[in-house]
Amino acid sequence: MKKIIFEQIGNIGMVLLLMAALVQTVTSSSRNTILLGNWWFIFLGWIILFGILKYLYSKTARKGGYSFMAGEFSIQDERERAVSNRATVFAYKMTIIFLICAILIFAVLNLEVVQLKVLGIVLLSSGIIIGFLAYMLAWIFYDLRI
Amino acid sequence: MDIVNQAKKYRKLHRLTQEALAQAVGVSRRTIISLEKGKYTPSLLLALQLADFFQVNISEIFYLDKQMGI
Repeated sequence: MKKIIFEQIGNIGMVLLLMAALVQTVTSSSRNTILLGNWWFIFLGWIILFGILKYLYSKTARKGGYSFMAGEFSIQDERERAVSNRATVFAYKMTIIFLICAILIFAVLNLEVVQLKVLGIVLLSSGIIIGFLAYMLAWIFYDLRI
Repeated sequence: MDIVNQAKKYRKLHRLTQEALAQAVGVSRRTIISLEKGKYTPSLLLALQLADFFQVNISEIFYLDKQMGI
């Protein structure tokens, strides 16, 4: 369970930083110039730090079945595979529901181009975060239940 | 129809801890706990591995509870 919480918190942090970096670029860039703000460096730093932490965790938590490459899909045995499969189905459903809601929000709102871009980034990032969160919560739920 | 399992009985007969049995069949202790509580139905492979480990027929460890009905 710890490996999934570790992985998903790292993933959520990564998506949040990517979202901040993209929003900063979209709002500060003009048609001819693309500006990379400081959020990109923080995002890059997070990727490097998280990568190192993942590597170290995979070396110290072998018994728990954490794999650097498999990430949140790391499994120790067949019971955890069943837990992971159920959590994946739940996360898929939650993400689809959220994306349908996001499409409806997009269709209803009447926004300018920049606002549309920002809203698009925020909604898509939120969709990914909801997928990560749903997977983590479902994993914890099924791990305790099965 | 439920599956009854006698994994706990056979583990105790062999005087094994859950950890030792888990290591012997290559799963986590958590899986053995869930299996013994009847929360988790093992795959055919794990059921066969357990039967092989205890040197009994698979049907002596796992069988259908016909009284439960469908």
